[in-house]
Amino acid sequence: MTTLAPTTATTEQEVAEFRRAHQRLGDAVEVAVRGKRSVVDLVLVATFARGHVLVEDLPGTGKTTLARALARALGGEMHRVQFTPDLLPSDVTGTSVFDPRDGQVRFRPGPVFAHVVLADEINRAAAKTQSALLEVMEEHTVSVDGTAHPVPEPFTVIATQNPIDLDGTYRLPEAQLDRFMVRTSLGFPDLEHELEVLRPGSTAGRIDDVPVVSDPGEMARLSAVVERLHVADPILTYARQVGVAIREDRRVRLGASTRGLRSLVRAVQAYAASCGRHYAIPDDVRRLAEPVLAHRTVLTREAVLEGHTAIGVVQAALDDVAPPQPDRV
Amino acid sequence: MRTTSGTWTIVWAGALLVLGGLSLATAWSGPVPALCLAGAAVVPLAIGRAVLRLGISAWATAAVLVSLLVLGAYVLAADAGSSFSDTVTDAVPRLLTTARPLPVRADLLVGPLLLTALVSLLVAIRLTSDRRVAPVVGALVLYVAGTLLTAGEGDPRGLLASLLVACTLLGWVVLDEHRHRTARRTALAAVLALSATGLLAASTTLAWSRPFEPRTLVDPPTVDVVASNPLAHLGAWTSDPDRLLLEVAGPVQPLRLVTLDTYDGAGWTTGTRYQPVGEVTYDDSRPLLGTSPRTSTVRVEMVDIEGRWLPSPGWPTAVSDPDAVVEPTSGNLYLPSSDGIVRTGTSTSTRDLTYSVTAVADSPDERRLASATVPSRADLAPYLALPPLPQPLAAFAERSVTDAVTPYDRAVAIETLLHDRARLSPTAVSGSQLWRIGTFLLAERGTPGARVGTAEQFATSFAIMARHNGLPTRVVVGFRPDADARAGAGGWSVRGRHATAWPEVYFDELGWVPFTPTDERPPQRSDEETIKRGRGEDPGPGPDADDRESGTGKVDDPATPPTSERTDGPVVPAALVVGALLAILALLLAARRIRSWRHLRDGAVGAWAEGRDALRLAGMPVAAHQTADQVATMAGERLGTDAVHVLAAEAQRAAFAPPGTTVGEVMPALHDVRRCARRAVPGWRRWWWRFDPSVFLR
Repeated sequence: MTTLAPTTATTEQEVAEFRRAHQRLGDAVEVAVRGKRSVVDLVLVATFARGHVLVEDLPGTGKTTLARALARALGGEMHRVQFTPDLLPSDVTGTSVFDPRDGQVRFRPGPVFAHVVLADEINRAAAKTQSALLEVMEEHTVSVDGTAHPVPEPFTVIATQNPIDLDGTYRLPEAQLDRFMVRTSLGFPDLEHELEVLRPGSTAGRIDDVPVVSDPGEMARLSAVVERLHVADPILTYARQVGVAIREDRRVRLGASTRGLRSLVRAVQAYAASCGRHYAIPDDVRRLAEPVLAHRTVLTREAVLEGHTAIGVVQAALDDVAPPQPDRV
Repeated sequence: MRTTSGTWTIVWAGALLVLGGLSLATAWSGPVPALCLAGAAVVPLAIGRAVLRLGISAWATAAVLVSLLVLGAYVLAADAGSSFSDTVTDAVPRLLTTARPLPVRADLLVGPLLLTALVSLLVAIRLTSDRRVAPVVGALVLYVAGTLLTAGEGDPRGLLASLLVACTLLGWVVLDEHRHRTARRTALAAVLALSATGLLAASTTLAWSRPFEPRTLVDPPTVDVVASNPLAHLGAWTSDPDRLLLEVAGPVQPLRLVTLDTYDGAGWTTGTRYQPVGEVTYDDSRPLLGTSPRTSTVRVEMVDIEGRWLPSPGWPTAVSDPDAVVEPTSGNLYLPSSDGIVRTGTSTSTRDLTYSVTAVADSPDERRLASATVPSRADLAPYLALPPLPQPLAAFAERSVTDAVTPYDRAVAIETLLHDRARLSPTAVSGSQLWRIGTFLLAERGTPGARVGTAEQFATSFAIMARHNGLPTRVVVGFRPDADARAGAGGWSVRGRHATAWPEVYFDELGWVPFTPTDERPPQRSDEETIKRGRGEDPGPGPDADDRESGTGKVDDPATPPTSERTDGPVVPAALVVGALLAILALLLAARRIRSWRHLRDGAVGAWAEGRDALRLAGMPVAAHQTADQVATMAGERLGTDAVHVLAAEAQRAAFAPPGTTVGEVMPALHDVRRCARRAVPGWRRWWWRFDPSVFLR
């Protein structure tokens, strides 16, 4: 089976290489995070699509371990920022300090200058500190004293937040939620994997045992492969129809923005490549609609009181919109 | 047929629509309607396609052209003399209540022209799609409309239908761009053409005893005519024997002016509700006739005759005067005065009116009269109704048939009794009242009116006595030719002496048989219109040998009566049903095969469509929100095969991968899916697999 696609489109050989790398990274992360391969794959998809991940789950489910294992497997530099109410924006982005040795004012980079940034319990920081992440997440640069300082590439923010014990927390604003490509949760492992974690001598949770299987250069190259992956017009139309159906749902106050739909398409590209395909299919949209669009969907007060959820709204949209059929495109 | 509509496609579509329009045009006679309908079929199609090629949207094109069509119809309706809305909304009832062939009038043409033009416009718009179904459907709609309008008489041999089928198949074979399938398409077209030809041949060679007549669904306009019967004029006409009443061109035969069927003791009446001629066709069997009627046509000039009844040789089926109306039970022909009966001059009568009339009348076989029976059906009850008779008259009627055995014997006995008992006199006292009949029959000689009367008393007496003895009888007022009249070749002059009235008795299968109770007998009893009887000859409307040689009229061959009941038995209907079922199955099979071939020529995506068809036939319809992978998962679990996953993957690869991507072989997977899906169908239902049209619903 040969490929005669134009040179601008991702080839099947490139996809095969991508899939091997994706598999390799997933296996490496699974050394520390057991039984959550689908979540690991989703996080990897977001990483390859140059997106950021919000992991929302209860304490002790492995959120931080996932972020640290991913950072180690990627082989890049990883910084962790523990968000607290007294954390200042400059504590995240860095600041200019006076160097008495030579009398110069120098920029001292903050923890965001890394390939993988773990923003732990991001909702515990004040709004202005959370906002400090806005520019760097979108622009991949930090502006201090009028000077823009680029962060290293690839750059991925993996933020975690605790959905309970919300006293003294600051809910993430919609603008910032929109900057996370996917929101996911780990959940508790099943019996088999939890016993494995509990068994003495298990490597679960031991970041040092996670092998380094990639490097930032390979990540950047594979991200470029993802960007060129072919998405047919019917798939784009389908993705937009799903987004429009969510926006037009009477239970929705704010639906996915165009940036949100663009994130969906990028995630679809990475997911298709992770499945070994050099083209996207409607199932890719269905698979990623919930993690990409649900956290961008804000329900009306009445809908919330009636017990509706954003995930339910997304699912309803997927059920309402007919996907493109191969014989009718 | 995934192709753009080229010039040849438009020509093909136009040809189909013209054929459909010609089916409508068969309701008229003459070339003008055919040309108009052909124009209506072609012009909107051509203009619509031309406008669409300019890039103008279909909706805008349709809106403008429909507006123009409505405007054109409005102008045409203005010529019809009625409002536009009335002309359009009443188009169908008007078409179905006007005698065939339809006259070329604007109000009758507006509806068919508008329908044809709208169909043409819709075809022009739909021709942009990747299918060429629209012209075929449009032509079919027009053909069916024409067939309904003419009750199938417009295309009795299926010529237009054959041309439609041929043109459709020709377009399908020639215009399809997928040349590599030409051989298979040609073979299939041959099968379809053969099936259609067989069906048409069967439907045309096996005559239907009672074809569907849409006119029966429409109540025709009626005219209430309250007019006295012309019996009173008999005396005046016969008292002036040489007075020229009519000039008749055509077979020399009796002419009926009025047929009277209701007697109330004071006089004769008949139905008063008239309707345009041709509303009720002869095949509706509304007229009470025997099984061997004959059809004849005469041309009558009303020279000097009172009243507005129009003489006719029988039950009229066509009249040249569009204003004439007919009473459907008796067949009395009348010219109402409401819309102007004056055709020439300023007279208010029908004088100088000339018209042609085609009519049917019974032509009974005299050899069967002796053994003929009288039916006792409910529809004959009016012909047996009598007021309470005076006892002497009833006893006289009963005594008159004492020795008669058969119904015909009773009728002849009454006829003979009247011959012998009374004398015809044009100056006798007129009247049909019971007292007048009593006097005519029973009073002693010398009493005024006793044993002497006009034809009115003879006919009425016969009718009363016959009805009293159980013979369905009616009285006809009309004109009967004599020997002098027959001498004129190609026609005769009806004079006062020809005016008379005669009774008719209805016999099973033979129909109405005339009798002549008057004592005025023609010199030769072998007149064309008489029926030879056992004991002599009686004048009256009957078969006329000379009529068939007449130059101006025509007499149909009685051997082929239009209303003869068919005795084909259940074999023919059963054969037709079986043939129709086989034809339907053949069409379904062909449609399914066409669908499959069209699918498979599209490669993997077509194979997926074919797989979805198989899943639907196996009872696994695909929901609209299901993706191909979801369908494959569902079907794979139920059918127990992974082939459906292969099929879905390759189809999606073909549909969504970048151009140039090669796709693997899908036919083995498709065959596997088909086999498993068919296996999932119960055995008793598998034969239906190849014909099931439900796949067209998805």
